[in-house]
Amino acid sequence: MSMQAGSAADRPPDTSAHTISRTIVAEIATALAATTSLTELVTALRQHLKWLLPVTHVALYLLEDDGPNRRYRAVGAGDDETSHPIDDGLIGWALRHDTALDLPDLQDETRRPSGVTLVNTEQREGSLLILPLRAHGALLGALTIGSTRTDAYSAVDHSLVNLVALQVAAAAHTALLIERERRARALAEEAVRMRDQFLSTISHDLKNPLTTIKGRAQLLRHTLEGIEGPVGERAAAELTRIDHTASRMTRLINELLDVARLRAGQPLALDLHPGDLIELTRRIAAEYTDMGKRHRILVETAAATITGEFDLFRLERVLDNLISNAIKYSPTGGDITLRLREERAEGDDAPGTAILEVEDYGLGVPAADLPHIFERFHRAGNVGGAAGTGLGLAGARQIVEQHGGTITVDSREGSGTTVTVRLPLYTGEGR
Amino acid sequence: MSPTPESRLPLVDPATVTDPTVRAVYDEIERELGFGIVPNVFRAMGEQPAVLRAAWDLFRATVLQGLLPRTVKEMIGIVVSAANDSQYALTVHLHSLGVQGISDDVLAQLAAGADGAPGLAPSVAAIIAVAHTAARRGPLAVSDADIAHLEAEGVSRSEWAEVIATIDLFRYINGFTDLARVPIDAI
Repeated sequence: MSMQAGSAADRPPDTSAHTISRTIVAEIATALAATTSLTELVTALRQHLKWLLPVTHVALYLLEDDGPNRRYRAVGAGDDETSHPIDDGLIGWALRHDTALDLPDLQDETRRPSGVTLVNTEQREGSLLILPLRAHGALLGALTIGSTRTDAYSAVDHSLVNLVALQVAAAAHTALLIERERRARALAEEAVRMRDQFLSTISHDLKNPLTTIKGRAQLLRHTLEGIEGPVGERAAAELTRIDHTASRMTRLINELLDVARLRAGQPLALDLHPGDLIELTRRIAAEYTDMGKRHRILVETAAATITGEFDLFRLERVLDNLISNAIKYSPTGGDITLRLREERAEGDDAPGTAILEVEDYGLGVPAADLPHIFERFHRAGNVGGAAGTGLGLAGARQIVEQHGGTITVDSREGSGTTVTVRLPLYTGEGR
Repeated sequence: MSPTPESRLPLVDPATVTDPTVRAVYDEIERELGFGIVPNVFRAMGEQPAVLRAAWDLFRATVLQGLLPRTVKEMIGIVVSAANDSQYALTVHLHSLGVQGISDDVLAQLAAGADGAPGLAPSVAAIIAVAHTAARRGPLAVSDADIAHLEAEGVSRSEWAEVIATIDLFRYINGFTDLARVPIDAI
């Protein structure tokens, strides 16, 4: 980098002071390397450059883009950030020519490049150094160092600011990369937030009419209970079916928001309350029994209740998912057995584990697919036309694991599948 | 330069020290000071753990942290120690700056009390001038005009506070090392 226009100041170069300055340059380099934003970079420069040179103002200018009408603007700590065309001002001149400018007396027009229109924010008197900044071969912008005195900078100062400019270019390049990354992350987070908000609005809007359908169906059923004979009974059964289908629909809508989070692998915020797993299982099984006649849903358990701290809405969807899978992959019909039991650890007071098995006698899972069955979007090779996104089991596993439990699959192709869910039964303490 | 006298305080050996406070401080000194050793001034404080802790914390906060470059603060140390004719800090910090690449003639100029070295940034020259006045003629000799000069050269209030703290730290170290006759480290 060579200096143009103007001569070095009268202050004699002093090699001994130069050695002090070099140690200070090293300290400045350390401070600049620690900055992570352009604002921090400019602040650090303003803080440190005064130990090296007579300096009253320091500014950092960056080129805005690569187009033919390039512009530049000041960045960082509180400067006027209005952009200027590269054809304007002394800084524009230095950037266009990719050349450092040494202006020992700004008021003396004979000591600066001819034909340059000053930009209104530019320094008008004293000395100014303009140093183009390059990083990885590309022109990044310019550093300006100014003093209100004329002829403020010596030949030694010139070599020192060239050293500083190299450090500033590297730090500015890094800061730009970090800022770009920050902006991209903020955009992505905003997109997730908007998606969640959209889904939550949609869920709400879809659930309202369903509530009405459920309410009307229940009301109508009560009215029909007074009517004797097969017509009344048939109608009441159909209305129960409408009621249960509306319940299932509500569950699927509740799942919308969770599915979006589960797809992204984000954790759900569990809403834990005391609940009974047997009651929950019987209710879901009853709803499925009402909906189709080809499959029998059997609940087998020796216990009266299995209580623990559960997010019942989410577990309901796990069960829903396991039962609907069992039905989907048993196309010829048959029994689906839901087995529940509680396993006690040693000592009567210790909390136990709830074990739920969902067994079907359908297609089964090919051995090659078994290890991948809980992966998002993975579907077994033999499912053919059965509908599904392949997301359900991955979501079910996440919900179970967030409860502190496990979910496993045992299956043989052609003879059926057993899914086993184990859930720890916390007593409210030790969580 | 006066001959190196016998130490008037025992020099605690960092390798065998058992007091937990002293142990912790010596570990910090070895890690943070940059010499890889515990200088004798801190070894001489080793039998007063609370004083050692306070003195090291003061040194660390004043010289190793803050706004002024460490180089400038070590230069203040040389100016003050030269004015007090106190060999310990003078020798240690001359050595430290020499290691950092500052030439002998600049160091000699500083130590001789020359009023700043030509070519220093005006802010640094102003600080060195104030340190000279305070050390040679006493703190009361520093005038309002001197302070105004510092401000005109861009030295902020917090930086000025650091200058005061640095001058006083070296006055304290000079007093301690001279009274205790702390031997100069073999560095």
